[in-house]
Amino acid sequence: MRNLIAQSLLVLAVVLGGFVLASAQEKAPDLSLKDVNGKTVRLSDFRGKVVLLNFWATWCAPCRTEIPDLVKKQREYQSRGLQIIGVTYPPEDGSEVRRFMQETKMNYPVVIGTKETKHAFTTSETLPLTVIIDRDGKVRGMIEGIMYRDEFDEKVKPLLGSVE
Amino acid sequence: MYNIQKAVSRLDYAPKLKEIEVTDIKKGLGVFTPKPEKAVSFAALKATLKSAGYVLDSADITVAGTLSKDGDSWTVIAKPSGQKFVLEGPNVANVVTGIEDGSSIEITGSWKTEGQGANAREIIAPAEKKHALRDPRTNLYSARFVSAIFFTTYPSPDVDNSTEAPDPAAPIRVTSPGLTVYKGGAITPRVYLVRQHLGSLKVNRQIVDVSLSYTPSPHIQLEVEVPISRTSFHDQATSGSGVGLANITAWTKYRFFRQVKTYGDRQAAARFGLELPTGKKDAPDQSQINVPAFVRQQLTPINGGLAPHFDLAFSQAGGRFIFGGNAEAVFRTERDGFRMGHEQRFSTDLEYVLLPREYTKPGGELFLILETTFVHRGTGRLNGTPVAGSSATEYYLAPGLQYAALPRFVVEGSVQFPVVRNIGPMTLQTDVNVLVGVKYLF
Repeated sequence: MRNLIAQSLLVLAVVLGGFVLASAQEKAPDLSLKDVNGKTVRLSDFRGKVVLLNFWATWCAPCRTEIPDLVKKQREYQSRGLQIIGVTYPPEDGSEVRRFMQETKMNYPVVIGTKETKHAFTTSETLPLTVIIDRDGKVRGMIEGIMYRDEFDEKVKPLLGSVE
Repeated sequence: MYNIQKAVSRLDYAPKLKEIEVTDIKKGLGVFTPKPEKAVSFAALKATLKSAGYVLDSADITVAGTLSKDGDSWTVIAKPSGQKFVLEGPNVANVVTGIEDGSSIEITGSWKTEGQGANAREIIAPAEKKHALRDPRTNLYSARFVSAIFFTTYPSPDVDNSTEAPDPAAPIRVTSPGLTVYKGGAITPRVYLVRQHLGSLKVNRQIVDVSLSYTPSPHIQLEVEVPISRTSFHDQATSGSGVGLANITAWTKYRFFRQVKTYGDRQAAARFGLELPTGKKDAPDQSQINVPAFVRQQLTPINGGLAPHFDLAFSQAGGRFIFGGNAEAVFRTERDGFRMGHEQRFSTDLEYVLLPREYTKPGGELFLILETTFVHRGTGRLNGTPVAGSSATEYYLAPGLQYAALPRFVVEGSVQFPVVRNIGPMTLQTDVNVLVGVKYLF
């Protein structure tokens, strides 16, 4: 009887583990959002690239601190297939976003998001938050708070190719 | 998860992320117990918070170890890391008095790092001493860090940016209850100087009104308001005065809507108040002032007995302007046969942020305020019967200034005067109402 229970628990653990693994790599929703200039940006346009969806806001101090580092990463790893997309989190003011983009020389697209945009990926309340999407459009992970170098090395770098 | 927690957790001496407690996210306060075997560094704590966008204002640390005399200075050598903490500051002599070199001691104080690299020293300016160690294996250290609001001055929504600034203080004139629900406490003493008349009867009132409020959550505010009133009166023949407690009111406010936008908050709240029959009810008698009994009752600090207040308010900010309005109804019950009429109030409040022209940090903000109040009071009652000529309809303007000297300290002054009055012959007419008040948030 004990063996039967143990075996059942093992099967359950394997099934649940597989489910968790599968859900961790589920396909990212095909977002279609306007950028700060009103141009439509689709997530599917970046298929084939490793996409970092960075949720941020101009009123969020850690977000603002993180962005210069993201600008550097975009420059450094663009040739290896990295594409960062900034997604603003409300409440946000378009002119404030544009001003901040100019100040920090943001070199990646920024789209205007809503709470629902973020909730399509996570229920976490933390900002900044970065969603990692692989070249096949699957969600490979999430980094809550500022993305530190070691987190980038561990979770993003393995998905990037060598210099093209 | 808060960004502060994540930043601190990256220190080699920090515990696991979930063991770093953020005790007050608005004030940027947190507490954690470093790993006892690791050496700690204030400079490293400051640097890691800086990397996450915060400025560390100050930190306190509690260290348990062995007191040691090192030349002229006293040190505490922590166990088991062996890290040396130098004691400095005015309280050192007091703290070590009566304790022998080599004794166990627990010291709490303000913490800093002096020097860099191999020359770095951890300094504690002691605040207190404790001889008895609770448990030498645990709680060897507990460090408290304080991170200041910096970098952004924008309002933040109900998500974690770990730097949510206190909401701006609301206008404090009672005609505008304000919508700001500041999480924490506030004390608001106000002084009103009111001049009234009715024919040859002149009345002056000085009211000290102290409000104490507490906001346990961003949606709920509890408040109690205690007014004390001094009333003096005279006509051509007689004069007199009296001092007494007015009716204490208990308030609860529920902010049911809040849409936060950069430079454009919009919010709405409902407020319920219960005016308690605590005020002094004894009116001057006919020999003291020769006016009808209903008028004499108005010389007391009260308008009647138990009175529920219902209030609905909204506000909208946009750029440098803030506009608000509220509708209030007061239903009065009689006390010893007297009450003023039921009241309806409609108020608006327009504010303009005059200073600073360039916002760099909270505090030093000057607001121009213009409040308008429409009041209709129904027929009052005395000894169970309606009093003819006791109703009133009035419209007031109240220009004023509000100065938020510090983010938690606000001073306000305004002058309210009537522009339209339709008042029955049995009701005192208000000529002017000067308000001076301060608000302190804690």
